[in-house]
Formats: sequence, structure tokens, C-alpha cells
Amino acid sequence: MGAKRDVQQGTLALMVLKTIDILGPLHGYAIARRIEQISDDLLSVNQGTLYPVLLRLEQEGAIASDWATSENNRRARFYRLTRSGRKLLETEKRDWEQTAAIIARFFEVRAEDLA
Amino acid sequence: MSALKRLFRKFTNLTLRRRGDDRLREEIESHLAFQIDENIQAGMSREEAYRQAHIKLGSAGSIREGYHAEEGLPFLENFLFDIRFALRVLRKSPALTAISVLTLTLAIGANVVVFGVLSALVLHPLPVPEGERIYQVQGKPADAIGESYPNYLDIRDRNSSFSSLAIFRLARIGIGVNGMAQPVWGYEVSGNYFPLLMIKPQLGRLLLPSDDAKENGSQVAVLSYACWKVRFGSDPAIVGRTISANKHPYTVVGVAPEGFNGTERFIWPEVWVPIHNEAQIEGYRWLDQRGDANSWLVGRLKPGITPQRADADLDRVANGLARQYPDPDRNLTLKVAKAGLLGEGLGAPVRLFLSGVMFLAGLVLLAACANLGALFAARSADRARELGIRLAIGSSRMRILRQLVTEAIVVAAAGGLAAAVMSKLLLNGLTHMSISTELPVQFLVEPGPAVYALAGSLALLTGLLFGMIPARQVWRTDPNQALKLSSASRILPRRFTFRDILLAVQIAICCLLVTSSFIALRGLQRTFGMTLGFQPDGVVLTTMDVHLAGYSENTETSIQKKLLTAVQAIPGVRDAAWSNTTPLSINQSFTSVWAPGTPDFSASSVKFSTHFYKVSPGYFRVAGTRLLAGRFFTDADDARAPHVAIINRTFSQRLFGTTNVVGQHLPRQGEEQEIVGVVEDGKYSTLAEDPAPAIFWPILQNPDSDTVLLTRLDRPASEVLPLIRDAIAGVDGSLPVFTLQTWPDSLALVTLPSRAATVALGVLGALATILAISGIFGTATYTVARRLREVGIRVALGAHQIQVLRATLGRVAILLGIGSLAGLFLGLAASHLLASIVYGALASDPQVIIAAVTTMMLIGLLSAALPARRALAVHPAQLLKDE
Repeated sequence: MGAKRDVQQGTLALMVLKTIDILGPLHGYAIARRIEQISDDLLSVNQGTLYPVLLRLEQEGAIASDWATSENNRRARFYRLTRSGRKLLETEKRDWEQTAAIIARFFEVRAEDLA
Repeated sequence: MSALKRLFRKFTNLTLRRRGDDRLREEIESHLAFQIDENIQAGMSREEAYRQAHIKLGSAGSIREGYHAEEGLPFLENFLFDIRFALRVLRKSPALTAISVLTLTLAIGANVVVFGVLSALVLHPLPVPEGERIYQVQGKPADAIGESYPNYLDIRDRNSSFSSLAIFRLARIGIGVNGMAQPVWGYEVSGNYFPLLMIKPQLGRLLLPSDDAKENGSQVAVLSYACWKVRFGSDPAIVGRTISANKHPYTVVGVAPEGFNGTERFIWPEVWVPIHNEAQIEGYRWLDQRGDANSWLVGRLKPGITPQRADADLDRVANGLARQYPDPDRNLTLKVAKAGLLGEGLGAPVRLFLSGVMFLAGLVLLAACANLGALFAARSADRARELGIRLAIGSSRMRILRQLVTEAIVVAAAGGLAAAVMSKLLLNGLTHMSISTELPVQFLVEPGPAVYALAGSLALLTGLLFGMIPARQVWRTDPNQALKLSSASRILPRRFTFRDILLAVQIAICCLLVTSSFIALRGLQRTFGMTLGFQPDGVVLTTMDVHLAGYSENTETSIQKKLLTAVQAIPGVRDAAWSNTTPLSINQSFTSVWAPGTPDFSASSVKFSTHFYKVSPGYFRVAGTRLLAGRFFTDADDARAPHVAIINRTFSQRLFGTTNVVGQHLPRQGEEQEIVGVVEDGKYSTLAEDPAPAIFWPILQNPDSDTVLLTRLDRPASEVLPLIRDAIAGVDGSLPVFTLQTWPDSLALVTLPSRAATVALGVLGALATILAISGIFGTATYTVARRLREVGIRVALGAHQIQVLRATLGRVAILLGIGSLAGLFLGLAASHLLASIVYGALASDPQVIIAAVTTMMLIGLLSAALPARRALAVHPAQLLKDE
């Protein structure tokens, strides 16, 4: 699988929010799997670390959870995005894009451009 | 906002002990189930699927820790856990805990009480708006606080530093309430006094500049809150009421606010009147006397003007006045001083004394820290095994350290709490204590928030300080070593350890305080044994001013004669006499002395300044002042007779170089006076003063209405005091008697500094002694316990008792010696500081040194006796069997 990267806490939270945003209510295992898939297994989450993040997001009111039955008839806690979670995702996304754009510009810059 | 919400949620989780354990377990179970299903679908065996699922999820413990961190407040939880554990550990050794808490209570309490007094008297400005800008203007010598009215006007108009400068004078005023004259203290103030203080009246209005525009212009008065409450029953209709002040009708225009007790912290007035009414109130005009420096100046510095700039400004004003009016003002100097404690007069010694005591209290606290630090270090050494095990099973050093510091802080917090309660009681006691004197002296030292804050922070600080002392040990603990060796067999280092140095410092502090207490005690002993130049025992003083009952200069002599006769007729009264004032009372008067035959009566030719007293013929007999040469006054020395005077030995020696001066003449205000007698020296202003000159004049030739009636008794004063009051009332019921007390009682204020210093030093010294004893005891016990095995072997090999003692207690003895020697030298060096407060505080007093050395030896013996017995009682066979 090659070298795996540690996932920063804030980044993981953002990934969780985005995943639920796209796919609708999901249980913990499904979230972990999706994140693995989307990041091409590059970021293999130590899956257990997901649960403290979920708890924190729920305490912040960004997500809410309920017990429900999954497609293969297993009981699991399903997480869904709340209104304030959607708002949080929007701001986080904007921030992230901004940061990424700035960093990208730094990498593109060549010595002659600055002359 | 969401962060706040989370914090709140965490708090509720913490307090409700709601654990998400169940939820997490369910989550993990469901997660694993999904993963196992998937793994089996991918073709793994059931066991392999199970194993891989667990590996992928990660350690359950670390997930739970992460989960709990999100759920609760781990820091707070750990802290609470630490506290619980600390309480358990402390409960296990109740004696140690009790001693530690008690030590801290006393040490912190001493600091808090001293700080309470310091903050009330020195640190806090007067309780008026922007009180930190209120300053007194006085002369450069600390006790030159009086200024004259003409000089005041010039200083007020010529300075550029004060936004406003007022003058006030303390005066005794007989207030007539319902026809009864009650003597009270009041301030005569200039019209700008209240406006510059910017305080708001409780009722009506305060005095205004227009009230003080001309002499005896407006007869108005402002009452203090206490006076209004006590003497007038909080009468809501007091404003506009007419009261009599020294038999003159005065209209009450207002009541001062509750917290305002005048601009002097110790001398609380009950009434304020315009200073231009001085002739009416005092029966004596002095507003135009430039040489009559009898009032105090208080002013508000302009914003941004520093005291230094004001001093420079006042120097300029003083120089101008000295040039313009060389006669009275030749030596005039001016400077500013913090208002409230008679300028520097009381301010300088009070500050010096309180700072000194504060410093000593700090030392005691430091000693307590050293003591407890050593105690805790010794204990954590004994807990080396426990600490070793904890380190070995993965506890971090930081975590263990935090535990130890928490223990220390728990002890310190208990001590701090007890100290706060104790000091509250003590300070309240001080506030309600009234010192029996002729002045309305009162302390206001109610503990404020700053005092409690100090108690709290001192507790925290000491906890940290002595909690950190064992820290080095924890840092060096090697779990292997700690587990391998039993604590008793560890080798003691040869050189002096940090703990030894702490003990030596503590002994030095103790010895310093013990030495200082002995020096102060000896000084006090000398004070009571010294010759005062009079015999106060058995004499009762009655102060009164017949002027306040309406007697004029023409009638005062005859009423005084009547009063004297009435009092002399009381059974048990041996003799009685009048004097305008008594030695060592607060009321001292001075006059200038010129050489006999000089034609030049300018300020520059003054030989010296002398105390003067106006006395009736019986004064010297009643006061018990011995005659050295010549005669006392007689009834024949009256207004028609030639002027005569009696001088004391110092006066005589200084002016004539001999005491053989009876019959010589002295110039006085253009007249000659004949010296008819020479009396012994005495103490006049303070007990600590050098011999000072004094001159006595017959009161019949120098009438005075404001006087003291001295009565020498054959019977106990308590029986005669009411009879004296009755006798005076029998002559004139409207005569206000200011004070009626025994002479020794009235000297209480004079001996107050000595007594306060001795009590303060004694208490701190006792504290330090207790600390030293417990410190030495602790160290000695510990050393003996650690070396018990070694001692056992030595005894088995035939060591003598003395060798055993040297081996176990030698080091403690050396520390005691070094510490005591250092403390003794420090104590002797500090004695000259003490000398300014306590009369006769001498360092070169062999008795002090002997007493201090004996005390330290006793301390050593007392604290080392038990450990020594234990060392000597060692039974080798028993000991070796135990191992």
C-alpha cells in the first residue's frame, strides 16, 4: 500500500462532513470506507480515530445521529448533516480552497517572475 | 459559540458522570461486524477476518482515550483525581498533615495580618475620589508638620503644583447637645477643604469657601456621620438645627459621608468648622501669626505632577518666604508627604516599622516553606519505591510531579483558608480596639479583597514552592535503582545536601527573630525601668478647658482655684495641681531661648528651643519631680510678683554650663525672669529622645484655660475617679471634662510603638522557633531512621554512645551552629533599625546574646532529644533480625 499519511484532525472532520454531504446519512464504518476509497487508499485511516471526531462534530451540532437498520439488516448509528453542519462545511471548504490556491501559487512561482 | 456549547456539554458530562462507554462499545461492535462481513466476503477465514478487523480499527484503549478526551475535560478530571489521591495520601499520615497545615496557617496568617495593616494604613490612599493625589505639605524634618496661617496663604498662592491646598487644625470643641456640653474633637478647616476632597455629603451640604470668608463670619458646622448617628440619633432634620460649639450657636449645614473620617487616619474628627472662627472656638487669635506653626496643610496635586516636581516647586516657595520673612521663616523648608499619618511625622516610622515586620513575616513564611519542603522531600524519599513502581509501569515523571505538587497545594490551600479566617478575626479585633488615650485614635484595618487575594496567592505560591523541592528527587529517580534497593540501605551523600542548606537557612531566620525579640524585649524592659523625671504611678489626670464653659481670661484663674480646692477636699487625694499640659502627652509646646543679656531677639540668635510648661505651685510635688537646687513655686509667685522660672538640668547645662544658676536672669519677651530652681531631667516628647531642655513657669503668671488637673492619690484610682468627676460637676456642671484617667494609662500611646514592636517580634519569633524545632526534629528523626542499620552495626562492633550520636546527629548540630551564628550576627546588625522604634534597643547587650544562644541551644536539645534517644536505644540483634 506504500507510505500512508497521518490524517490531520481538522482534515478528517472536513472529509467526514463532505462524505455525508454527498452520500446522505451513513454509519461509521461506511464513512471510514468511503474516505479510504475517495483518497485511493492513500490515506488509510486508523479507523478507530474516526469515532472521537464523529463525537466532536455531533457535540458541535454539525451532525446528528440515530440508530437505524442498514441495507444488510445490521443495526448501526447513522450520521446525517445538520443545517449548521452544512454551513460549517461551506466555510471550511472556502477556507481550504483559499489555502490551497495560495500554496499552489507559491509552487508555481519561478525566480524570473519575481524579478 | 459552538465551542462554548461544547464546553458546557463537557461540563455536564463531567458532573453527571455520563459516560459514553456504552455508546462507544456499540459503535465499535457494529463497526467490527461490518468489517468482518466484508473480510469474509473477500475470502478470509472467520478468525482471520476477525483479527484483521481489529488491527484495522486500532487499539481499543487508545480509541477510548481519544473518545473520552472529546467527551469530558481530561485535564480537570486528572486534577480532581489528583486531589482525591492527595487527600487519601494525606489522610494516611494525619500527624504530618496536621503539622503542615498548622505551620502554613500560622505563617500565611502572619503575613496576611501584617499585609492587612500595611495595606490599610500605607498602601491605600485616603477614601476620597482620586485619593492618591492628596498630599500633605510639611517641613523637611519628618516631624516638622505644622505650618502657620500666613505661610499657608503664601504657599497656597505661590505654588504651581497643587490644584488646591487647604489648611486644617485639630481643635477640642464642646458640643452642646440638649443643654449638655460634650467634648469632641473637630477640625477647623479652610473653605476649600471639602471642595478639594471632592466628597459628597450624606445630608445637606459641606463647608464652602464662602463659609470661611471672614473672621467669625458664618457660624456653621458639618458633623461626621458617626457624630450624627451617635450624638443626634441619626436625626433626619439635623440640617438647619442649631447646636452650641463652645457656647456659641452654630448651624448644622450638613453631615459628612459615612466612610469619611477626616484626612488623618488615626485622628477622627466629629465636627468641622470654618478656620476663620478660630478665635471663637479656641479663644485665641493666631491667623495673623506667621511664627505660629500649628496647623496642617493638605492639598490635591494637579494631574501629572509628581511628588518630586512638587518638592522642587515647594523649595522655590520656601526660599522665597525665607528671604521675605527671615525672622520666623529663616529655616523654613517645604516638601510633600503622603497625607493621613501626620505627614512624615507618623508616616515615616509607621512605614518603616510595617515594612520591617512585613519583611520578617515573609522570612517566617520562607522558613515554613523550607521546613515543609524538607518534610515533603523526606517523605518522597521514603516513597521512592512507590514512585519507582509508578515510573516502571509507564507513568510519566511529569504526571508524578503533578501529583506531588497537588498534594502540596492541597495542604497549602487548607492552610490558606484557615489563615484567611484567622486574619479576618484578628483584623476585626484591631479595628474595634480603641487605644485609651487623650486623642480619638482609631485604626481602620478591615480586610478587603486584596487581603484575601493575598492569602490565596500566598497559599498557592507556598504550595508550589515546597511542592517543587522534592521535584529534583522525582527527576532523578531511576526506577531500577528504586526497586532494587530498599530505601534504608541507600548511601547518604557526604556533602551537604539541598535539604541541609534549607534547614540552616531556617535556623538562621529563627535565630534572627529570636535575637530581635530579645533586643526589643530588653528595650521595653528599660522603658519601664527608666527615669521619666516624674512618677506617673498613683496620679490621675483630668483634662479640661474652662474656656469651653464660657469662662473668660478674667475668670479662669478663680474657677481653676475653686476646682483645685474641691478636688483636694476629696478623701484619698493627697495633693493636686494644675499644669497646661503634661510631659509625654501629645500636646507639647516649645519656646525659643536667648542668652541672658542679649539685645538681639532675632531668629538667628536663638540658643535653642525648649519645652515649656505652665504649672501651679504644687505641680512638682504631685508629679514627683525632684528639685536639684533652689525652690519650687509658691502661691506668692502670682501676677503681681516678679516673673520667675524653674529650669531642668539640661537647660541649665546648655545655657550656663552649670546647674548652679539659682538667681540668674533670663530674658523673655522683653522682660526678665529670675531662675528660682533647677529640677531633674525628664522625658518630654518621646521615650527614645535624648535629654531635652525644659522650662516651667507659674500658671498664675501665665494663665491658660486649657489645662490638666493632676491628682496624686492614696487610694486606688478606680475608687476616686467618680469622686473627682462629681467634685468638678459640683463646681460647674457645664464644664466638659475631656479625659479622666490615670497617668500610666494616658502614657499608653507613648509606649505603643515599643509594645507593638515587641509583640510583633515576639509572635514572629515564637513562630520561627516552632518552625525551627519541627524542622530540626524532622531532619534528625529522618537521619536517624535512615542510618538505623548502620548504627546497629556500629553498636554491635562496640561503638560508644557518643560515637553513635556523632554519627547520627553530628550534621544537625553543625547546621544548628552555623545557622544560629549567622542569625545572631544578622539580628545584632538589624538592631539599629529597631532602635528607631524601640527605646533602648542595644546590640551590645551581653544579656541579649546569652539569651539568644541559650534559646537556640534549648531549641536544639528539645528537637533532637527524641531522635537521639531512638539512636541510643538501638538494639543490634533486633535490628539485624528485622532486615
